[in-house]
Amino acid sequence: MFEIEIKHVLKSFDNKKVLKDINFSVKEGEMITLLGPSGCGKSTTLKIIAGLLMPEQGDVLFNGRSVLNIPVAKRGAVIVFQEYLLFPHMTVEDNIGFGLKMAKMPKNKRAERVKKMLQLVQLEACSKKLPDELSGGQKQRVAIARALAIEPQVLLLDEPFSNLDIRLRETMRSFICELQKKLKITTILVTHDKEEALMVSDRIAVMLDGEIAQYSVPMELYETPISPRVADFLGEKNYICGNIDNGVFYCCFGKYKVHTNKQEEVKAMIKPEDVEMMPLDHKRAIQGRVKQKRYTGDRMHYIIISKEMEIKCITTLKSVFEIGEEVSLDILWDKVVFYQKNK
Amino acid sequence: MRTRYKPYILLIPVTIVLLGIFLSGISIGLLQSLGYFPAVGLRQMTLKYYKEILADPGFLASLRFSLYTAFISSVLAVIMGVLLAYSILQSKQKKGIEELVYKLPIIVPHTVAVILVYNIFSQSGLLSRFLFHLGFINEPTQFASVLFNRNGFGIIFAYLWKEIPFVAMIVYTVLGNMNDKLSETALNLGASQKQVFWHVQLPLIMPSIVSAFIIIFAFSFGAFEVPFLLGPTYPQALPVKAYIEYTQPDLLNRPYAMAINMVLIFMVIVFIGICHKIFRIFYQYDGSKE
Repeated sequence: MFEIEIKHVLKSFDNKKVLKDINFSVKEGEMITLLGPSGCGKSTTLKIIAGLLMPEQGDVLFNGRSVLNIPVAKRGAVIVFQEYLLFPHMTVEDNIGFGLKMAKMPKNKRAERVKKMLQLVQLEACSKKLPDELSGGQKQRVAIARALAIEPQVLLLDEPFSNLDIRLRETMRSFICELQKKLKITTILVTHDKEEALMVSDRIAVMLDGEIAQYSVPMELYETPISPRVADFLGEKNYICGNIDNGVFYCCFGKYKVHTNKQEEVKAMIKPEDVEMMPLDHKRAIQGRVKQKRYTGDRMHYIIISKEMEIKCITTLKSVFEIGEEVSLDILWDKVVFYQKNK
Repeated sequence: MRTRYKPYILLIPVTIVLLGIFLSGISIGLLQSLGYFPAVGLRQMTLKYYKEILADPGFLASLRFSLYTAFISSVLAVIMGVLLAYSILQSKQKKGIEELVYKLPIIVPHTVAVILVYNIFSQSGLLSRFLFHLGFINEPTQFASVLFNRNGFGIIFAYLWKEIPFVAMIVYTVLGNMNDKLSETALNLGASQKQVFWHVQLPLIMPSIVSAFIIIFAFSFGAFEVPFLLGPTYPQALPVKAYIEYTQPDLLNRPYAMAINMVLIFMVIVFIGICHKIFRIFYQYDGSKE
C-alpha cells in the first residue's frame, strides 16, 4: 500500500482559490479524514489525489514519487463517490468487474475476483440485478466492491455515507472500517460529519476555507482544537475572556488554577459538556438562570444566563432543570483550552 | 369521479385532430387497397391488388431499393451523427459556432438539400468542374455519374446531409446531459477515454440512438421528394411508385397506389418491432429511469 504526501497544493476555479497551500501526509495503511464544511475544498483535494484534477502548484507523492504525470487510470487511487455512480446499464457483477474488464483481465479470473468481492460485501444474491433494483446501502456496497476489485493502493471515499439513512450509515461505517483494517488500504475519507470523522479515523485533517487548519488524532483534535475556528467547527463552544498570571486564570467569575504558564490576556474555550449543572448552591462561584433548554434524546442542551453572559451546557438526563430555574455551574478547568485573546 | 376523467376530457380536442386525421387516412387507404372504392364503382373487397403488386418484379425491385437507400443512409447517419456529437462535445474550444453550423441542415428543406447535392455531384456540378479545372478529368462528363443511378448515391448523400445533424443534435443533447461523474468514475477505475466511450457513454445513449435511427429510417423509407428528384428511373423508390400510381388518370389504379402505401406502413411497423426486439435482447437497460 502507498504512503501519500500532499505538498503545497494550490487550485483555483474561475479565479477563486479553492485550495491554498495544502500540505499533509498519510501513512501506509492509515485511514485519515478530511473534515470540513461544504465548499472548503475537500472533494477537490480528493480529485487531485485521484488524478481527476491537476493542481496549479504543488505535488502529490505516492511512496515518495510524484504521481502528477501518471494518468488517472494508472494511478492506483480509486474514488467512491457520494452518489455511488454505478453504471445504470450494467448488472451488479458487471459493475464490480468493470475495472478488471478495462484492464483486460481474462474472463475466468475476472469472474473469480467478482465472486470474491460479492462475498466480501455480502451481495451474492444480487449479482444479476441492475443498480435500479438495489437499495441505497446495497448500491454503496457495490460501489465499494467495484473500487476494491481492482485492488487499489489508495481508497478515496467522497462522503460515501451521506445519502444513507442513520441506521444504514452506522452499518456501512462499521463495514468500511472493518474492511479497511482487514485489507490495510491507505484510505482518505471526506466528510462534513464530525462524529463520523471522530469515529472512523486514525487522524483527521480539518479543512477550512481551502486550508488545513489542524491535522491530528481524533481525541487531540476534539479536546484541544488549535484555534477557535476549528473549535467552533467541531460544535458549539463557550468563550470567557480573562488573564492568566502564574497559573491562575482571572475572569468575571473569579480566579481558577489552570495547567498553563501563559502570562497574557486569553480567551478560555469551554466545551458545553465540560460545564456541570446543579441545583442552586450559593457556595459555588457561578450561578445563573436557565434561559433555554433543548431535548435531543440522550442529552439536554441548556443556555444559562450568568453575569449577562450566555453559557451553553450539555448534560445527561440524570437531573433536568426547568426554564427560569436558578442553577449553579461548575467548569472542568483542566479541560479548558486557552487561546490568545485576539486569535 | 369528475376529476378522474377530467384529463381525458381535456385531451379530446387534440386527440380528435391527431388520431382523427391519422386514422381516417389509414382507414380510407386500407379500404381502397382492399378494392373498396365506391366512387369508381369498386365495392367488392379483395386481396387482388396486394397479390398483384407482390408478384410484380418491379414492385419488389422498388421495395429492395427503398429498403437499401433508407437502411444505408440511416446507418451511416447514425454512425457519423454520434461521432460528430461526440467530437463537438470533446472539443475544448468555444462551442457556439460549431453548435450553430451543424444544426443548419436541419432547418433546410429536403428539396433544397436535393438541389445542393445536384449542384455538387451532378456531371455538370461543382465537383466535376473543379476536377476538370485541376486536370484530373479531361471533360466534366468524365465525372462518374453518381446521381440518378441504381446505387442510389444521390439519395443517400441528400439524406446524410439532412440526417447526420439530426442524429448529432439528439445525441449531443443526451451526451451533454449525461452525468460527467460516470465518465470520471470509469476513468478512475482504469478505463481509457476510448473505453469510456464504448463501455459507458455509448450504451447509455443507445436508447436515444435507436429512437433516432427508427425516426430517420421511417422517414427516408417513406419519403417521396428526394428519391423522386435524385433517384433512377428503374427501380423507383416505393413512395415514388405509389405516387405515380396515385396520379394515374385512371382512378381504377388507385387501389394499387393504396396497396403500396399499406405495404410501406406495414414494413415500417415490422422494422420498428424488429429494432425494439433486437434492442431488448441485447440490452436490459432502456434509460427510462434516468
